[in-house]
Amino acid sequence: MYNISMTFKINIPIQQVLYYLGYKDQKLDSHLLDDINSCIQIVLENMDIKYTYKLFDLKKDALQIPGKTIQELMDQSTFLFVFAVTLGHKVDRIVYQNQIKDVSKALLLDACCNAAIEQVCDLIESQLIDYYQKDHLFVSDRFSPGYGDFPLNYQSTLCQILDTSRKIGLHISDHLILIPKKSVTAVCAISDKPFTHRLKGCENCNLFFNCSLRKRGMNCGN
Amino acid sequence: METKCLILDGALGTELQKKGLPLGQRPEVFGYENPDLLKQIHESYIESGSDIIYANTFGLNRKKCKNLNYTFEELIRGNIKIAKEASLNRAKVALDIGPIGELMEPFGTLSFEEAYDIFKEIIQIGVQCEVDLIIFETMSDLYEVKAGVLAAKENCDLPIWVTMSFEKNGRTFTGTEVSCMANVLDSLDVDALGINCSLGPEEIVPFIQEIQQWTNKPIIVKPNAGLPDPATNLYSLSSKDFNAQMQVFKDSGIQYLGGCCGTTPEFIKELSKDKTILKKETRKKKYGVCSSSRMCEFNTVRVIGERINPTGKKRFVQALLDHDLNYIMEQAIAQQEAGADILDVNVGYPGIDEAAMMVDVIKAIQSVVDLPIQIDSSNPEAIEAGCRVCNGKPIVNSVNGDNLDEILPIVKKYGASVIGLTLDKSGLPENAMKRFEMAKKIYNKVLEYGIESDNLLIDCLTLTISAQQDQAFETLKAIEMVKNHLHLHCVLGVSNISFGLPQRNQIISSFLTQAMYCGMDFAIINPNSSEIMNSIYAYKAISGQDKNCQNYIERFAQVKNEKLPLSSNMDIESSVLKGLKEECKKATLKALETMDEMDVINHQLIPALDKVGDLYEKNILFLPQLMNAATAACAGFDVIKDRISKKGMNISKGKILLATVEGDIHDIGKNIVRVVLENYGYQVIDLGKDVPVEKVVFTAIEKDIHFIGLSALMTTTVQSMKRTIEALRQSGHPCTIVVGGAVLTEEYALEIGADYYAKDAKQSADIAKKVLG
Repeated sequence: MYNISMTFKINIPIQQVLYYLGYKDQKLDSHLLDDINSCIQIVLENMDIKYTYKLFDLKKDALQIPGKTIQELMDQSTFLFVFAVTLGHKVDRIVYQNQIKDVSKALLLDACCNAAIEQVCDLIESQLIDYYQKDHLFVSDRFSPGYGDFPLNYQSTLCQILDTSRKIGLHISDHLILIPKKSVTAVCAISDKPFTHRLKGCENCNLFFNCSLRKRGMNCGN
Repeated sequence: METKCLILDGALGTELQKKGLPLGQRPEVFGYENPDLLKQIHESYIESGSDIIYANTFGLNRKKCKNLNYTFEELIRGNIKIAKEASLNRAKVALDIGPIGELMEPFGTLSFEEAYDIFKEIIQIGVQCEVDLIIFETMSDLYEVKAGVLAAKENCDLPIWVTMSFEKNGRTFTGTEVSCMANVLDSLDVDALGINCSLGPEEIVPFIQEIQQWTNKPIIVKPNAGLPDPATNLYSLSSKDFNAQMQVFKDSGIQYLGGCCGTTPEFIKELSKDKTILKKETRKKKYGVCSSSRMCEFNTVRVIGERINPTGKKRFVQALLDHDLNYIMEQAIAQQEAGADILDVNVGYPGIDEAAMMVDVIKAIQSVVDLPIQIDSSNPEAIEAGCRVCNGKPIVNSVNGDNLDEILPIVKKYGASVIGLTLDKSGLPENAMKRFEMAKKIYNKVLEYGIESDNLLIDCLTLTISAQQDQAFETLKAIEMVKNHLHLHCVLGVSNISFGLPQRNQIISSFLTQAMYCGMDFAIINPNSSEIMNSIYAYKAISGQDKNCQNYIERFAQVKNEKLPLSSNMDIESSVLKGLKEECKKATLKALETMDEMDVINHQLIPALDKVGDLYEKNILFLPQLMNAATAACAGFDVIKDRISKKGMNISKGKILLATVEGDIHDIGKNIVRVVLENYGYQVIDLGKDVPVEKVVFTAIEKDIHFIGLSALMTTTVQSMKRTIEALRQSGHPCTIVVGGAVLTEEYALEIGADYYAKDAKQSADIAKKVLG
């Protein structure tokens, strides 16, 4: 149970990059596609994925996490898998350097980084599912502070619990910004019963009727 | 020859856990509340053989103690007291200072100056409590270390020790390299340096070997008890195995040995059984200058980029006056890409606060390139300010025969290298011998100040052959003399040689080659000139510095992957719509043959951008295509700006101030807005990210800007935006405030006092047009 090691070989699908660029079926020329592909390569070559986790036994460890969604998840679960992952400082620096040199390229690189970190998180989730399958346990969708009713300020507690600054060089600013920027902290619940409540998407969210973002036609990204 | 090492202690946190430290509680608080338990641990280390114990103060600073029941001051005092009571003078007590816990600028939000203040506070308390030494440990950012070391040097007389934590690849999380750490700390004259935590003894061996190449100072090795076992999460080494692995350090003369995570008094007992170590001889160390992540060793011809200098550069002067750091950063990036090893930075110009500008410019350059910096100034205040904020080891350019006593103390204090110009107020030396004499004078003074001769670079002065033709060979002869008799490094700013002559690069290349042959090993040149760079590559191949001519071959074997320039005569609109920079540049030059500059802007470039904007609103184009169009238009705009500044005109449609608010570091959206606004003809002053409220207000008033754009991306930083707006209104300075960022909406923007909300770059441009014209 202690060693949930992960492998991080990922691709960055161009469709996901286009999603982050706000693509809505515009006409794409080969010149732009070439640029996106070369940015994908740059990110793949320069990312330095670091990951750390803690597994809590919900019967023994008393964890107070705010938010109704999380409480409901924990009530039906045996374990809580808490993790943090980052693409590292180097890609942040490359994006920043390009903001001075070539803003168009910076925009593409930024979108590639967003796609990359999502891929990494998806990979963590799927490896977790595989890991627990043999014990006939089920894994929930991942859920991060700042989404739905999971308060953003819990992010600093997560970083503290995981000792992210020492273990993976991930810091959190006074304003709750993760640095390096392309980083994620999240929890997954693990239960002996399948999870029927999906967490992704507005329609599954507890705040559906009261969400200030949704009222403005936006979403929190979950 | 043998001597004895001193033994440090082992892990404190885990020992406290054994004594009942609950999960989630701070060890410093637990120790303070349970002095007897803490005392027992210190005593057990001392009885096991520790000659030096670290007080339980690792995480105590004003940033990390906000939500505790005690102040950090009382916790520091309390824990030191317990350590001293445990020691009873049997062992020395170190004030243990760990990382502040916030990431340093430029990527984090902690400024160098604030870090210095935080460390100063801790050190002052330590001094009052009469600790025996200061240790900065488990550090991962050399910039943070520098702030700490300066705070220690300037606020106490105690020995200063530093250990950093590295990953297996020899870098810290923030990219600090082992060689750079050793070089910088040796130059800053700390009392001991080394490595702790992260790795076990075996993994640290190659890093210690690297450190020993750069310093003869005492070295500290305090590893973990191996690496954590993946199955059990426990550290893998027993005390006997740990001691066996530590033997290699004893055999190479490492003076301070201890253990970190996973070690216990048992480990220290085992380690102390035999304190014999080899007595290390002082060996010839390596020299160089560096940033925190890139070393430039003084072992081959090095290129110093000269372009960050206002002399004779109108566009650069304008950038200084406008505080346009983006332009300066572009110059830094271009020089790095062209192959510069070091960047000269000169920001002296009438009307500029040189010291303040030097700080801003160095910090900006450090955020985009990792080359070492050469601080070019004759103003001691500016030199000192630059040396302080430089992340790494700089070169000071320069001293001469007259200002040695003014500048050398600064060089010594900050551990810089220094250029010595062979002249004084009596005028330019008329021959090689006079230059040599001056070099000797400077050399002797440098030694007097305790600066090592390898840190001195002698500049024998390059005079223009069109004015003083015989001086070229005098300079070359002088270099030979300095090299052969004084064995010093030589530097030259070669561009001067060809002033006033046609085909300047021919002369420069020839002179450069001869100078290198005579022994010049630092060339201050324009690295963007491929001709001049080629002559350096060629020389290195011929002289054997470039083994097997490898770099030379690589340089010329590269197939330039440039798209063949289209021979079609694309007009401005098409080139902008297609996002083609080169084409837009060509089209603009062509248009300028028949139209004047303002017409090209107003009737061609801006309408093209408007059309692109329109297509973007209709979702026919999406953001990257808008950006490509904007950067293509930018190329056209740059052609016009260049022409206009030569005519002494200014095309600005109005000034706009942009900033990402205090506490927020997301700026890609703001940068996109900047590019689009610039292309619409506005002069944009971009203050960057995490901009304090006062700075926005001050700049708006000082630079007379009445259109302010603020960006914030987090609900947490929207508060800063609100405060910035309030401060602007309160100041009475008339201005239109536009806000943007993903968390904002029109109604919220108006709620916090803004005049407009811009949902994207295009809308910002529309609003600017409405307000400024």
